[in-house]
Order: sequence, then C-alpha cells, then structure tokens
Amino acid sequence: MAAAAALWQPQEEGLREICTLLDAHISPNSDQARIWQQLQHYSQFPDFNNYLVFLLARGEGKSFEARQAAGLLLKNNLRATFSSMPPASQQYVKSELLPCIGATNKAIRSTVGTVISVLFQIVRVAGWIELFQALHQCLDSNDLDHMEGAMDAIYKICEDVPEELDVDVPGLPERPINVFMPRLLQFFQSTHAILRKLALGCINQYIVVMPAALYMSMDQYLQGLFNLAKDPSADVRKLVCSAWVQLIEVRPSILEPHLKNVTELMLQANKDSDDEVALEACEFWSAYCDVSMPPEGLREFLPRLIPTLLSNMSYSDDDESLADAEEDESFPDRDQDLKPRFHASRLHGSETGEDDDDDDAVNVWNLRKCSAAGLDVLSNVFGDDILPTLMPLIQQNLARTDDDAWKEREAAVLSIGAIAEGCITGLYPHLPQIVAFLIPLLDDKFPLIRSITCWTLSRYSKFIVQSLEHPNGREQFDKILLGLLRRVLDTNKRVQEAACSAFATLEEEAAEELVPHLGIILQHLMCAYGKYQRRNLRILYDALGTLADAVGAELNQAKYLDIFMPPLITKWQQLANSDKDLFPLLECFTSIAQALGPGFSQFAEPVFQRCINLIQSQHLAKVDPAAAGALYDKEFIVCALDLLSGLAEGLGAGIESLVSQSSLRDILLQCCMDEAADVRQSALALLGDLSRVCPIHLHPRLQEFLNVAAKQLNPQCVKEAVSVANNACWAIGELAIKIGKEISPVVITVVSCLVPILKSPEGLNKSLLENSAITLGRLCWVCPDIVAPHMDHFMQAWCNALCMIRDDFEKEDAFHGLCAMVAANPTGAVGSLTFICQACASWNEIKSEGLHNEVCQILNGYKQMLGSGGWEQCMSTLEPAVVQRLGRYGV
Amino acid sequence: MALPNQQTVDYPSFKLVIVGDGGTGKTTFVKRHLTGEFEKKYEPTIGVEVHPLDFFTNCGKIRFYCWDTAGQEKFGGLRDGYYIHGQCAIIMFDVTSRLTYKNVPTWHRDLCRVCENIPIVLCGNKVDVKNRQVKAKQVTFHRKKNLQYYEVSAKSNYNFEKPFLYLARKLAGDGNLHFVETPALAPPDVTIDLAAQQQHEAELAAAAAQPLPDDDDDLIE
Repeated sequence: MAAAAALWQPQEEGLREICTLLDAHISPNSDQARIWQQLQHYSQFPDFNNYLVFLLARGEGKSFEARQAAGLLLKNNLRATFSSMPPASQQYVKSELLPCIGATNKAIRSTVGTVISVLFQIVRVAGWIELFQALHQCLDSNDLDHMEGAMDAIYKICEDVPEELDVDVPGLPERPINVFMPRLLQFFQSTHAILRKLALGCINQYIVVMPAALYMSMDQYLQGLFNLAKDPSADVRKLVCSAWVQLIEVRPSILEPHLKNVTELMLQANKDSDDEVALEACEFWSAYCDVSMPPEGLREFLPRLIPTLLSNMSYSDDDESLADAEEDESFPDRDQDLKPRFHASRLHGSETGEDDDDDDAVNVWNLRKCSAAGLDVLSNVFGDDILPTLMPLIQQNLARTDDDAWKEREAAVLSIGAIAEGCITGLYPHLPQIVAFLIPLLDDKFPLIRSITCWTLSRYSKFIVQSLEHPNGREQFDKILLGLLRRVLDTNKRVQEAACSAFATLEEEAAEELVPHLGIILQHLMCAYGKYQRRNLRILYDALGTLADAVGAELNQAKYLDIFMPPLITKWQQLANSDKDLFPLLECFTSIAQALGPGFSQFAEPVFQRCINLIQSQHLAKVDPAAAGALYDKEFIVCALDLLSGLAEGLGAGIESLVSQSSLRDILLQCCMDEAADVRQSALALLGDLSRVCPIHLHPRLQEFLNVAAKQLNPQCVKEAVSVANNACWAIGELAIKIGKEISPVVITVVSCLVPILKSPEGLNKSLLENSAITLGRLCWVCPDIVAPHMDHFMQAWCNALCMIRDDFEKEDAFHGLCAMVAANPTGAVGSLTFICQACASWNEIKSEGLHNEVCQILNGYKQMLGSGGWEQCMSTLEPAVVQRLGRYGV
Repeated sequence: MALPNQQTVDYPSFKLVIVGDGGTGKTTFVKRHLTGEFEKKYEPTIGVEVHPLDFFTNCGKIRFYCWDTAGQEKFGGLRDGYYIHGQCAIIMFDVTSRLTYKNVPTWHRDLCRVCENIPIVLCGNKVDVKNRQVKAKQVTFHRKKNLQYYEVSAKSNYNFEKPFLYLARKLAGDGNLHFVETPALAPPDVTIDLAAQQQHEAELAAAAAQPLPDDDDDLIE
C-alpha cells in the first residue's frame, strides 16, 4: 500500500494553479466568487485531496498561507468525504500527514494537528494505529517542534473526542490515554511553557470524563497542579485555576482532603496581576458554595477573601462603563442605542412571575461582576457573619473622599447593594446609618457613584419602607425620595436611567406612602419628561405608570392632573399612528386610566377614538400598506386593545356611551379571530372586560363571540397558546354571569374543554387552572341543569383546583356553582364529599353571608344524609386542620 | 500590522472574520454600514464576501475588512481557510434559534485553531423578535471563553457599533478610543420584501442543484 501511495505524484501545473488560487484568496480584493467556483470545480477531481495534502506537507517554496489554506480545505473535504475516497488516496493522506507533525513552521504544524484530529474522529484509534507510533516518536524526540506538534494534535483530539482515547483496541497493549497520561504529567515539569500549557489543557478535558488513567494518577496530578500555581506563564496559571474550579464543581470529594491548600492558592490567584487568571480564580467561590460541601471550610478564609473581592470590584481602567461618564443629557439617542422593546399582552389571572431580563448588564462578565456575584453568594451562605470583615472595609473606602479614590468608593457602594438580601438581618438595625452614608453619595461628583448609589438604595426599598414607623424613619424616607428625584433630573443619561429605575422600585414598595409627596414627584417626573432622550423616556413612562398603579385613585385630583396630563396629551397628539414611540405612552395611559377610574372620563373620548383608529388603520395596513400609509405591525393593535381594557376597567359602565357610538363590537370580533396569538389574547381580555361593564353592546353578536372564545379552549389551542386560552376561559365566565341562560348553546362544548384541563394540570400554568375552575363554577351556577348530569367527570379535579384559589369574589361565584351542583344532584355528589369538604375548608372566610349559609346548608345536609357514623368516617379521612376549619360551617 | 496584500489604504486596517450558522444575519449586519464599497444588490453568501468598513476614531480613520463567511455548510468554500491572518472576529448567533447558539462553541473552536489569541465578540442577533428562544441569562458561553457579548439587532441597528468599537479598542490597545462620527447606517425597520426573499431562497436552491461551471476542465488530470 505504501508503495502504491508513493507512486502518486502531482502534476506541476495543477499544483501551481491550486497554489495561485489559494494565495489569491488571502487578499481582500480578490474575486472570491470566482475562487469559490474554481475550488468547487477542482474538488470534483478524485485526487484533489492528494494535491492538498502534498501542498500542505511538501509545498516547500510555496507560501505558508497557501499551504495552511490547503490543509484546512483538505480537513473540510475529509470530514465530508473521507469514507468515500479511493483507499489509495486515503492511505496517501494519512501517510503524508505524519511526517509533518513536527513541521518547523508553526502555522503548518498547527494545521497538521487540526487535520489529524478531524481524520482521527473519522477513523478512530483502530483505523490509524500508525498515528500513535508517530505521536510517541515525536514526544520522545526531545525536539521542541516535534514535541509541540504532537502535543498540539493530542490536545485537539482531547478537545474534540476525549472518550475516543479511552478505548481498548486490538493491536495496542494499552488504551491510548493510559500511555499518554504519564507523559502529559511529565510535561507539567517541562521547561517549555507551551508544553506545560498543552499538557494541562489536555487533562482539563478529562476532569468530567474521569478515565481510570487520570483517577489512578490523581495524587500526581494534584501535586502537579500545586507546583504550577506560581508558573511564570499566565496561560498556565489560568489553566491551573480552571482545573481547580472544574474539580470542585464535578469532583468535590477528590478535593476535600486538600481543600485548605487549594483554597489558599485560589485566594492568591484571585489577586493575580493578570486579570484573566484572577477572573478564573474568582469563579471558585461561587462553585465552592454551589456544591454540597460544608461551607465551613471557607469561613477561616473570609477575612482575607472578602477584601480581595472588594478590591476586585473596582472598575478596571478598560471597563466600557467608564466611557459614558460625562454630561451627555443633550445628546440625542440613536437607533442603535435603543433596545427593541415588547409589549406584554394583557393576561387575566395570577402573574406567571417571569422576569424579563432587559438589563444589558446581565451579560457583561468581568472581574468586577464576578467578584460582586461571589460576594452575593457568600452573603447568602454566611449571612451576617461576613459583616464584621466587610463593614470596616466599606467604611474605610467610603471615608476616602479624594478624587483618586472614587473607584474604591464606588465599589464600596456596590458591595452594600450586593449583600442587601444575604445580610439584611444584620444590616437592618444599622439601616439608618447605612442610608445616612449613602444619601450624600447621591450628589457625588462622579456620575458612576451617583448611579450605583441609586441602585444600592433601591435594593433596600422594602426595608426603607418597613422602617417608616421607626424614629427618623419617615425623615429618611423623605430624604431618599427627594434624593432619587434629584437624580432623575441628573445631567448624565446613565444616572437618569439608574435613578428612574430605582425610583420605580421604590414606588412599588412604598405605594400609598407616596401620596403626601405626589405633587413634588409629578413635578420632577414631568420636568424629566421635557428633557429626556428616547431611551430614558421609556423608563420614565414606566415610572409614571408604576406610580399610577401604586397610588391609584389618589392621583385623581385636579392639582395633580394639571401637572402630568397636559404634557402627555401634547405628546400623544404629536406622535403619528405609525410611530413606535406610542407603545410606552399607550401603556402609560392604560395604568393612568385604571388608576383614575371615573376621573379619566374627561380624557376618555379622544383616547378611545384613537385606539379604534389605530386598530382600523392596522387592519387596513395588513391588506393594503400603501393605502394605510404604514406597514402592518400587530403590536399597535395589541397596545390599543389593552388600553381599551384599561378604559373599561377604569371607567366601568361609563365606557358605555363610547362603545355604543363606535364599531368596537365588530372590530373586537375580528381581533378575537386574528391569526396572531397576542392579538387574540388581548382581544379576549377586552371581551371579558366589556362583558363586565356593558354586555348589552356585545349582544347582537353574542353567539359569535362565544363560539370564537370556546374554540380557543380545545386541547390543541391550549397547547399552542395557553395565555389565549386563559383569557378566553375567563371571558366566557364573565359573559356567563351577565347573560345567564343565553350561554346555554356553548356550555357543553366549554365544559368538555375545561374538564381535561382540570384533570391533567401538569405543565399548565396556575392561572389557566384557576380560571378554568372559576369558569366551570360560573357555568354550573348559571346552567346547573345542563352541567349536573356530567358532574361525575369533574367533581374531584374541580374541587382540588378550587382549593388553590385565594378568597375573592370570583371564588364566591365558583362556590355558588358548587352549591348548585350539589343541590341539583346531592346523591350524585356524595362520592366526592371529601373533596367538597376540602374545597370548603380552603376558604379563610366567606364574606358573602348568602354563600356562607349555602355552604352550611349543603354540609349539614350531607351530615344528615350520612348519619353520624357515615359522617364521622368521612371526617376521619381528612386532615385535622381541615376538620377544624369545617367547624365554621356548623358541622 | 501590515499583512501581505492587505494594506490597500493608507490608514490602519484589520481583517475581521464574521462566522456563525447560516441565517443568523451576518450579511445583513455588515450591510448596515453604508460607507463600505459593497454591492447593494442581494447576493447569497457563497464562500465569503469581503466588505471594507471604515470607522472614524479619535485617533484617526480605521478600516475593518469584514470577511463575511458563509454559514451554510453547502456554500462553505474554504471555510476556516478564510480565517487565515484574521486579526479579530465576530461570532454571530440568532436569539430566536437555540441551535445557532448551540453551535457557537464549534465556530469558536475552529476560529481559535486558526487565529490564536485574537479579540472575539459574540453577538446575539435578532433581539427585535418578540419570542426569543435564547434568553439573555442563558447566554453564558462568553464567560467561559473570555469573549465580549453584545445583543444586537441588524433590523433596528441596535448596538451596531458596539462590536466594532470593542474590537478597535482591543486592537489599538487603547481603552479610551472612541468613534467620533456615527457611520451612516441603513435606516432601521426596512421591511424585508417577502417576495424577494422567496426568490433568493429559490435561487439558492437552484444554485445548489446546478452542476458546477467547467471552464478549466483540463487543469488537473
């Protein structure tokens, strides 16, 4: 075979052509399309790959770029077609590669290693025994190029297919990894940094796989790692840290006996002058706390670890954030500064609690972020115990008021924010002093200190509000509130952003405590409204909407309305129907309409009309963008529908005159049938809201609405769009209690969709389950005669779902249904009595006296029906707490 | 930093390699920069297209030769052969497609095997799409490999400059370098003409199916 392979010789002309082509591709000015076509053409020749390997291996006198490109192209070809290549060619490629493992040119050497690794993946150990002989020869050669080339190839194989070296192969006395492992460990002591690095890199690939070869050499390996801790090469130190981090993550038991020494080394590495080494080491602390090892081992290191973390939390000189630190409020935001934002369609029911992480900061990863994350983890594990070390350092940093120390001051403020959750017990008594420290920093000369102080204060919002009743609590609250408002008007955009976000957080916690300050708050927010650029304007809308949600009807006073409504209306009028800047404004109006309630009626007419126009023009844009003068964007429809819902909720029956004069009914029906799920979701929410306040106006197309809504509940639709199903379910229930028996035609269809939801709630969200139970109850209440014959199918699952719903009027409706079922067929329900009892016991208190009496009646009815023996037996299957609660119903 | 055949302008220029799965928006992204001397008409990326993009910094003008490589396997051409002499790189994935993020390590590995120790930016494109599949918190690859990560939208231009600025700072070794003039970008929200897109796809399919041109049949025998 070797003889046959040796017969192949390239045609000089072909070689030159290929080489010219590969040389040309390097230039940015070449006709790349032509080169591509030529290469495609050549690749049809059966011995093209022979040319490529020849060029790579023996192309003396040709450019290194062309030879490297030939090698990479060869590798790609092998990956795709090696198995279909003529055997002679396969053999030729294999045999030409091996002598080049130690090529003197680094690019060629490295390319050969890359090709070898890919070919190895195809033929595996058994298909290329000669490879191992060649690699061993190189490793034994004592020639750096040969050793490095072999290690480079082995490293790439370990990176690509580590498990393939840990196999028994006929013809080899040992598994390849068993032979390599001692060699790799020897190279830990090589005088050449590149060999130490490659050897470490290889073994790092095996920590997760953990072949016997490594496990048996563990002591030697760990010793090797200890010895390399102070290696002069930063690359080597980084790999050592990476090894320790991986070991503690996947093999903590192996490290346990050495933990103290390792921790000591990581502490040193965490202070490494090379940031990448320090960053790798810093990952150790979170990893340590994450694995199931007693954290106590770390405790003795805290006095030295915490100062290191704190010092690494200072901004490094090349941190991107430092660039924005100027007075820039007058610079307009560009499109590229604005992150695309999305409106979340209205959902009726409990929040799913999904956090939208629109914070870019979440993705920045550097020593500062990693150290802060580490401190956060430590504060959660050790709680207040870190405070005796940390607090004096923080105080020391904060006391350094000179300009040169601003980064240390900033890091101190960041650290106070980082431990807000973990250490709150210990910090709470000192909160007044901490806040007293922080407040002056809101006015610091350095913008990044002002912005971080806003963030840190917001992390304590909950506790600041809790402290209101303490002495000075209110005074401090007022200072924070005013301080944040001052920063809302900062001249630096980044500070504005931090202040506005922090203020929104404080609003959520403070709620009605904001009422005495409404005037001043609104004045500041609206002053900002006049000067903010587009990006921060979005956050400001959010702060304003949150304020409306927080204080509700308190906002409904002429003196307040005069401050904030005129600027909003002006903006509302300025923005075209196709301007996306309308979205946050529509959302803001939704919150305001809900908060003002009937107070919004003076503004309602144009708002209502605008929403109708927005939907209509989008419907037109969908079929004829030219006529509409805009491109279709369903987001406008969704926002407009949600604002209409807000109006319905705020104005109540007061919306009736607007609805009656409009074509909303027809538009809404169309939206309920839209192909986009979020349009249907918001449309069905509005259907539910209109059902509550003016069902009469839906009446002419009632059956169509009901059919469309019922359709959303079939199993396929529930699977595809659970939030749409959720709103449809709720809307049907709302309609049912308003229209009574007119719901009859869809009752069986709806019930047969709700029952499977209640029976197999796994994987569905809580909101849908609750709404299903409530709507089923409402249907039972309105049409007991239709539903009662089927109650065997759902009674138990339904009662289970009812147990999870918290006290409110919707639950009352559902229980009216439950009582109606029992009344319709008491003997039919007796089989589910224990479930009924549990559901009844799930109330904290039934506020409606009528319902309370009904529940008493059915329970006492059963007690009589069963006689005392039967009743006692039923009670004995219930938890004592349930039995005790049932006492409230006189049984 | 002068390289053979590369220094075709009298100000500093750098070879930037853009890699990532097909359809992640690499071409659309580079074409957002309108000062480049590239074709305005659409051409599917076959092999590679090189776009010279100029930026104006406080230290003077610089040029990135952006090697926009084919993401699709069948149009790969030299593939990592195009990375040779790459001085910096962007790895692009699509936040609406998990698979494109899953393949990032492979692109990164192939890149590092040709270009050792070059600054690399990871970009999650299409953050303008509402239902993203790869959430920001799920993006962790850059942490392990010391890459910079940016979320971008080639559609809205969001964060267009950031990757270039980061790379320019690293290449210049100057963390304070900044762009003094915003490059002219194509206006955001240009709608993608569906009919045109379908035509491209048809053309792509046709190109793949066609036999290769045989202009130099007798070259190798």
